[in-house]
Amino acid sequence: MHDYADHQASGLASFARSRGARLAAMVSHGDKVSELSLLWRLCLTWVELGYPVTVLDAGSRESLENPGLEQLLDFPHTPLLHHQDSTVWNVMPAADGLRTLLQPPELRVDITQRFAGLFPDDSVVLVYGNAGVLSQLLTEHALQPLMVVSSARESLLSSYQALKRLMRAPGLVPLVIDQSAQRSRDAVRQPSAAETLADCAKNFLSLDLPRVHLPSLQDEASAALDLQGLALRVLENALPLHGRWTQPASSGAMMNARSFSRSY
Amino acid sequence: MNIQRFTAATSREALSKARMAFGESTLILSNRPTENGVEVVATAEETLAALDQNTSGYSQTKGQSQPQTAPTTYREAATLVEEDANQLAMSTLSFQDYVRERMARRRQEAQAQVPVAKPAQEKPAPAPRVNSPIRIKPDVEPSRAKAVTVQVKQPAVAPVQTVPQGIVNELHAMKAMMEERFNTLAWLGQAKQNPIQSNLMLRMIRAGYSPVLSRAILEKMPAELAATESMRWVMDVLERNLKTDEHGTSMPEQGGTFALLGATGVGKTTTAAKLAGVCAEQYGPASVGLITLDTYRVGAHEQLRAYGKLLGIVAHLAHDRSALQDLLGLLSNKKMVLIDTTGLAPRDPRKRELLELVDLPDVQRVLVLNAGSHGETLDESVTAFKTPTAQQAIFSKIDEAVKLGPAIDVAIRHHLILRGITNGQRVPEDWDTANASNLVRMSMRSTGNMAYEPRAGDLNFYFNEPVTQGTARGHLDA
Repeated sequence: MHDYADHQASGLASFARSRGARLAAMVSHGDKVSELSLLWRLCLTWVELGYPVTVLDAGSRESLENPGLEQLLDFPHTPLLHHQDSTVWNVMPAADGLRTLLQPPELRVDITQRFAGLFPDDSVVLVYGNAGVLSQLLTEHALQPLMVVSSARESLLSSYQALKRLMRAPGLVPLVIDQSAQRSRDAVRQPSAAETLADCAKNFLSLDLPRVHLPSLQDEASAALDLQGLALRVLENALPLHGRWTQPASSGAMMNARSFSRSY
Repeated sequence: MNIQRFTAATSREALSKARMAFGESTLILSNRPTENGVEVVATAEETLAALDQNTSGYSQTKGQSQPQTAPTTYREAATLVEEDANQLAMSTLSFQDYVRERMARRRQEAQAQVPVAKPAQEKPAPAPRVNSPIRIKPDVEPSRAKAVTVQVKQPAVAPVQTVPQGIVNELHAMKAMMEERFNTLAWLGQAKQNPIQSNLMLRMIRAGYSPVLSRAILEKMPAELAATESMRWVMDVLERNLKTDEHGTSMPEQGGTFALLGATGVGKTTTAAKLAGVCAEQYGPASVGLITLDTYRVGAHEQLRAYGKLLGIVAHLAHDRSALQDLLGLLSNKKMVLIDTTGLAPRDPRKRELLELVDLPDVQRVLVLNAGSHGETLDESVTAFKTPTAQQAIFSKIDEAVKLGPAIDVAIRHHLILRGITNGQRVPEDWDTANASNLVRMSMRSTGNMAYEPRAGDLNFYFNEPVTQGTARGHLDA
C-alpha cells in the first residue's frame, strides 16, 4: 500500500494546468441594487461550489483600518486573506491598489502576472469596478466582464455609456445579465432594457452582445440552477492567474507590516 | 345413433374395449383423462353414415315440402329456434364440431364419387336448419337468431380450410423449434465425436462466450485443422470480429462531443475523468470541456468538479436540453467535450428522457459497459441504449472482470466499436486503447471458480435453448 499514491487521481497533477486563481470582472455602472444583489448571489454560489472568492471593490478606498489590495501588493505575505477556506469569502477595497497598477502607463505590468501568487489556488478573484477602470485593467485580455441591466429607470442609459467606455479596450465585450422581471404572457410585449441595449449595440456599435436572462424575481429552485450555470460560465471564461500561492505564516499573523519597526 | 362411452385405466385398454364393441370400423369421437383413468367416446363408422343419410333425407323432404307449406307463423318459428338452441346447448361444442367436420368430409367424399349430374340435384338440398333461421330472422329476437345462424352455418362453409391463423403460426413455431432442437442435437453429437471441436466448445463456454456465438464460430471451423491451429483459428476469428479503434484515431485524437451512457455504477464519471486526463495530457487542459447531466445522484456534480479542479478545468452542470445546448455553444472551442450522464437501469422509464436529451446533432453516444457483468445484463444494456448509427462502447472495470468472454461476445454480436478500456482506478493511467488481440487472449486465459465452470457433460444444457431469431448470431467473419 505504501507504493500507492495519495488518491486515484494523483496522476492528473503532473500535467494539469497550474491551479492558480481565476480573474473575473463585473462592470459597475450605477445600477447598484441589481449589481450588488447579483454579485452577492454569485459569490455565495462559488463558495457553495468550493471556490474561495475574493472581491476587489474598485469603488472603495483602502485605509489602515480597512486594508485592501494596495497593502496586499506592497506586502504579499500580509495575512489579509487569513480566511482561506472555501466556506468564507473576502471583499477588500481596491481603489488605490488598482490605481497604482494602472499608473504610470509606461511601467504598467500585466495584471495576471502582478496578481499571480497573491490569491489562493482555485479561487475566484472578481474585480468590481467601473468601465473606465476595467477597460484599462483588462486591455489585451480576452475576458468577458459581467454587466447587469435591470428594469430600473437609469439602467439602460448608464449601461450603454459603460459599454462605450469598455469598448476602448479592443475585444472587451461584456456578458449582459438581463435582470428584468418575467412578464405575464397576456401583457403587451415590450422589449426589456437589456434587449434594447443589445439592439443599440448592434445598430450603433456593430456589436453582438451576448445575453443571459436571469430574472431577479423567480422561484428559488430554478434561480439556483440558473445562477449556478452562470457562475460556472463566468469561471469558464475567467482569466487564469498563473503562479503558486504561498500561504502566509500563521505566527505573528496579526502584526501589520507598517507597524514593523527596524531594530537598527 | 349408437355412441358409447368406455372407461379404462389406460387409453390402450379403453381403445381395445371400443374395438371389441364396434369392430374394425370403430370411430373415436373423444378421449379425455378421468380420475380413474381414461374415458373414450366411440361409435361405428356405419352409424355416422346412417346418420348422414337420414339427415340428407330429412333435408330433402323438408326442401321439397318447403314451397308447398304456408309461411311459418311467428310462434312456430320461435318454438323451432328454441328447440334448436336447447339441442345445441345440450351437447358439447367440441363434439359438435368434430361430428360436423367428419360429416362434411364424408359428404365431400361422396360428392366426389357420384356422377357429375348428381351433385346438381343434391346441391339445393342443404341441411334444413341452415335455411330455417334465415327465414325467420326478421321475426325473432335478433340475438338468438344470430346465435343459431352462426352455430349452424359453420359446417356449410368448408370447415377444413378455415383453420385459425394462430394455430397455424403455433404449429410453424413448433416445427421450427423441433427442427432447431434436432439440428442442435445432431451438431452436438458430431461435435462430441470430434475431440478438438468438443474441447474448443467447452473452452469458449468456460471463457464466458455465449452458446450462440460459440456454435456460430465452431460450425465454420475447417475440419482439417489440428488442435493448436484450431485454437489459433478461433482466436483469430474472435479478434477479427471485435471492432476497435486501435488502428484508427482514438477518442482524444478524434475530438468532438461524447456523451457517456450506461447503467448505474459502470464507471461513467471515472471514465470521463480518465478521458479528460488523457486529452489534457496530449493537448493541454484548456482543450477539454466537462459537462454532467447527472442531477439525480447525490454528489455526481461534485465528483466531476473535483476531477475538473485537479485538471484546472470547470465541470459544468446542465439540467435541461436548452442548458446543454448553451453549454455546448460555450465549449465549442474545445477539442473534446465529455458529457457524463445519469446512470440508469436499462428498464428505467427515465431512459427515454435521457436519450432524447443527448439526441443532438454533434453529440456521439458512447456506451460504457462493465466488462465484469453477466452476458445477459450486457445484452440488455446494449439493447436499451441502442443508437441508430454505429454504436460505440467502452469496457470499464476490466481489472475486476473474472471473464471477458461475455463482454467480447456482446460486442461482436451487436457490432459495437470498442473505443477504449479502463483497467483500474487510477485516473488517467488506467485508460487504455482497446486492443482486440489482447482482449481475446485475456478472455481465453480466464479461469473461473470451479463451482461455476461447466463440464463436458453439461454442454447439452447450454445448447438447450433454440435459436429462433436469425439476427441473434449476427454476421460472422469466419
